[in-house]
Amino acid sequence: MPVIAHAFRRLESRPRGRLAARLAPALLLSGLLAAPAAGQSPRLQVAWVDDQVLGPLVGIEGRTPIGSEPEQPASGPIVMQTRDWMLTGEAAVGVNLNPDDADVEVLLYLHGGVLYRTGSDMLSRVGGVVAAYLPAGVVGPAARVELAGAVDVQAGWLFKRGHGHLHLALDVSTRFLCDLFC
Amino acid sequence: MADRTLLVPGTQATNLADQNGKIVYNAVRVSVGLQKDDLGGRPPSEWQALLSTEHRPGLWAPTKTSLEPGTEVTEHSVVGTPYDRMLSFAEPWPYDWRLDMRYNALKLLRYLERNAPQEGRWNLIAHSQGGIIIVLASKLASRVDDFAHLVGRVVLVGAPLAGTMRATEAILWGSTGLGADQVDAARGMARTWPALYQMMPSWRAVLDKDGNEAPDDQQLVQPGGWPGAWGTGIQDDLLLRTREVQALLHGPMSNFGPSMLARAVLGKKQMSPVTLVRNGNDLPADRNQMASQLGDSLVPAQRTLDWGGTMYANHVLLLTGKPERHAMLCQDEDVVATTKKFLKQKTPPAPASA
Repeated sequence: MPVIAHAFRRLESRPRGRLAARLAPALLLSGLLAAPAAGQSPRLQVAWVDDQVLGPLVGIEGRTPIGSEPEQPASGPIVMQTRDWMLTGEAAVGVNLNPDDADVEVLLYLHGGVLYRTGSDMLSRVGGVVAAYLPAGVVGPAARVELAGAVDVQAGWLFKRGHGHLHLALDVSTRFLCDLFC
Repeated sequence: MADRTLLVPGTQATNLADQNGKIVYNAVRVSVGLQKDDLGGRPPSEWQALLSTEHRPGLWAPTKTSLEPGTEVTEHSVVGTPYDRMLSFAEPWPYDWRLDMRYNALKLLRYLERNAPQEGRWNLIAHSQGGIIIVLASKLASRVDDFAHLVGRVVLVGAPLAGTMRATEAILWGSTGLGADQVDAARGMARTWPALYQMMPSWRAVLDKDGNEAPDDQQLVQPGGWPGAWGTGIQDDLLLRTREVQALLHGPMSNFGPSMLARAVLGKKQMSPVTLVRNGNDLPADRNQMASQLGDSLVPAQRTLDWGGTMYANHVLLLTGKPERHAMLCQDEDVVATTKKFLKQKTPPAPASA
């Protein structure tokens, strides 16, 4: 937590970071809302935002299906149609190897958004998120695609002071990585 | 102290290691092809002996956990990929998924007793074979109250309580998981694993050429179900163990007791095999000749509901729409969310200690 507090203080001290600082709590809230309901997945992310961000992060992604569960009938099974839309939230921390200034700086990542269950084994979830990297101060929309339930690929267009920057990220379940390589 | 939550995983979801701690089987690595030429440093020619087991009639414990001279194979860690979103609130319980399920059920019972929360009870989440092990543990407890004293809530996800033709498939034709050129070795080792036999269907899965149910003595849980060369390597003792376990599983929740909450989650989306046709002394040459019903790709939903009866059905959550296939059912957001919600339900008071 001291690392996060430090990063926020740095962000608030920069005029260009104020927009991101205002959006961050909303994104974080979205992540916190999503996290408890459907379990959390520890993640390793490698992120790139043109001229702004390059670095590895570790974090937690959570999801919660949108909609309510049916009640138990008087007799027989509860029959429940899968809820195909879900909220997603993620918070991660890492290092930015490509900051504006020459120093390596702490990197925070937050996203909130929605995913859709495709029913496919390979391309299992697709959706969109609002993503932010702090204190780099880039915020914007990104498409997110999940492959085989363990690997997410994200691409978007993040903004900083009105300028757009291409964004790509690979976000992988650390438990999947551990199964393969530990 | 609060309740504790334990995850009992399914077949293949525990890594197996040799006596030096070297992992000899990791299902995730196998499934992505990283272990195709090497199981714990052994070449393919040694795989069948490495992973085969030996059992003596009348003993639930194995006499050998590997037929490779000087090697013992045991459970190691639980793979995380199929349980990624459940491991944030449940601790995994690894076990050797090849062995007699009653042996593992007793081990689970001992574990629950020795590590019981000082206040509160266990929550048990099970996937696939893990669900059968939990039901067997409840049946093998000395008294109904003994199990209910330990366990407050049970969630069985994709548990093939009535059996699955996927187990038959592995024994009859061999799995292709280790590679198409290793099917014979896979079949050979599978024919030494009691757990696979014990998960064969308890319904009449063998039909005659006219589509009628074949007589009992031609069903797969009987020696007569394996005619001629089809029966090479099939062990009568393991078929007997199968019938014994299937008898124990009837009324799967009857020993949970009134102070426990139980739920069984079944998926109903993917085609799941249910029957095959025997023509004289011939069984089908390949797995594509099985008839299927909707299920989770391994557990046929309606067949399992029919087998379980009303009491079981009253505990079932039947997921339609687009649930994940069997192997990844515990990763399904609806399964995770409903399970977490279920584990928050208030249980009746635990029975007094014996």
